[in-house]
Amino acid sequence: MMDMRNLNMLKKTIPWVIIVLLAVFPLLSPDIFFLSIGVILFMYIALGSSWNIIGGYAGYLSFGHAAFLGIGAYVVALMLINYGISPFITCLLGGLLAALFAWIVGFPVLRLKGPYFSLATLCLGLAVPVIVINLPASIYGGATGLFMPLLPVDIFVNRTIFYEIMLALAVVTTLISRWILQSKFGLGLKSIRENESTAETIGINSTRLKTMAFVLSAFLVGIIGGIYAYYRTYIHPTTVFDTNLSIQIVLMALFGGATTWQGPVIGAAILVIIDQVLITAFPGAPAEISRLVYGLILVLVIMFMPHGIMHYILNWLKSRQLEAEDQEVQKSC
Amino acid sequence: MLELKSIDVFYGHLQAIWDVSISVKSNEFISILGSNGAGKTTLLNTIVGLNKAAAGSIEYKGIRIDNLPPYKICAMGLILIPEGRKIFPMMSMLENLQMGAYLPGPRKTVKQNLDKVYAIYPILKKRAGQLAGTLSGGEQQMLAIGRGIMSNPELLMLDEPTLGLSPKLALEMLSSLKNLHTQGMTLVLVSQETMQCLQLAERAYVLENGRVALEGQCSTLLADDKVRKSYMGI
Repeated sequence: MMDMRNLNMLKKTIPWVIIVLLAVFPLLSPDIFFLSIGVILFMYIALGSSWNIIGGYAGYLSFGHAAFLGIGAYVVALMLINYGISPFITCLLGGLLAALFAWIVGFPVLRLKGPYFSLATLCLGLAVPVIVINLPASIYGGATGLFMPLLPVDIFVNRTIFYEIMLALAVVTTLISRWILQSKFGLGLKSIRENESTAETIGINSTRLKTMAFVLSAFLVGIIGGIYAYYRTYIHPTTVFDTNLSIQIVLMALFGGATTWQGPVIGAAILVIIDQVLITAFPGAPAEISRLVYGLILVLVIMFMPHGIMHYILNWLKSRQLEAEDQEVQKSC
Repeated sequence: MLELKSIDVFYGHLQAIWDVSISVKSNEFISILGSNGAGKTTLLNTIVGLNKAAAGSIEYKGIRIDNLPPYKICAMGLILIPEGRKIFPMMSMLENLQMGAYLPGPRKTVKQNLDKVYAIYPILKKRAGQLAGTLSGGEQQMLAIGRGIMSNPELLMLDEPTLGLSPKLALEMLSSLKNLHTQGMTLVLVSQETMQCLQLAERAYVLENGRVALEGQCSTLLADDKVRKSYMGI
């Protein structure tokens, strides 16, 4: 059927059209507010897609990803303040250090399963900022944090630069995550999520696969952390190692559907937009109202769509395709 | 081909297997019998490395494997089809089969093995895109065995493949195993269907409370009064 092929073409081109439109959006010289939302939105998409590699595909729910984000942020800040090297280069170093850290803590932590793994990573996320606060304050900033010099451009250009970089990061991490899901590596991770000991008996080196996924996830999050730090220009242990951030990443991925590559993208998009809309929707009311509604939406979705939104969309698309095929058969009869 | 020498296995302080020795020759069809809690599953899990033996040795094709991790043992062609099927329910039937050919060796023969599986269990071909969790019990068991065949096994061990199947399906399942054996595969079968197992297999071991209580040719065991009384009720 000709419609079918067109539909498939459309499905492939639409995401790219959206990406291009988003990329040229700053040319319309919109309000800086929208650029800031864009930066946050793309950051969460990138974080969610990176988290999904270990949390969604392998089913190891990490609640400590802020640790990797913070490590990336601190590496970038220290390199800029002490050596004047651009964060756009040192963010790779931040990613590498976060990956190294993940590799080391992965030895004990990845032996744990289910809620024990989640708890251990949660504690990891809480322990790292305490360590950073107690490092020599003259170098590491201690409890005062670190200030970075601004990019020497005006505020609009500044925002646009970070907007574009975060958009690129979101696209790249999503592509990586999608590629993994369709690869042999992803198939192995999925089988670990389904049943780890069976996966081992059919020849999967689960320790190696889990470590690879955890390290890769941390590497990407470290890079994002570095860029985020430069965007904020001021970092403090309680902001870049924020446990709320770790939880937010998990929520968005689960909300969208953590077993799919689209899940974190959709989850982050919906939750960030709802959050922003709610904050602006009740201008006079106390901030708690928007928090209440946000919480309510989360509860409802988790109650009625426990596998995430993407799961339902995919099922719906599948049933529609089956219907179309049925009709075609009937027509030909 | 497989040689277990005086194996002891513990769960914490609890000893589950006592001084068990078993040997399987190439192209043999061995059956391991025993009542619930006799240690059959523990024994198989120990052979593939999911449990570790506290004493004794396990040799496969002349190489000691009792300290190797499961994935390395699998790569040597010693495959276990676990009790209760243990398929990946949220993955499609085809993905489940492909998982059996994860290692580089079996990856080269995916197509031939897939044809082989479909030849033994034609019904699976119709289920390729379906989530494995939605298959019927019998189909899931076929899938579990199919996944094992995808790994190019030289020695295939089956833990209660007839569990939860209707008597008719159970018989079909067991006769499909007989076919595999005539095609040259070495089989170790654990089952509660004592009568059928003794008729199908060549030799059998009877486990009791973690110890080998009896061993011998199936024809001899079938005639044995003790076996007939305790395991067949006749």
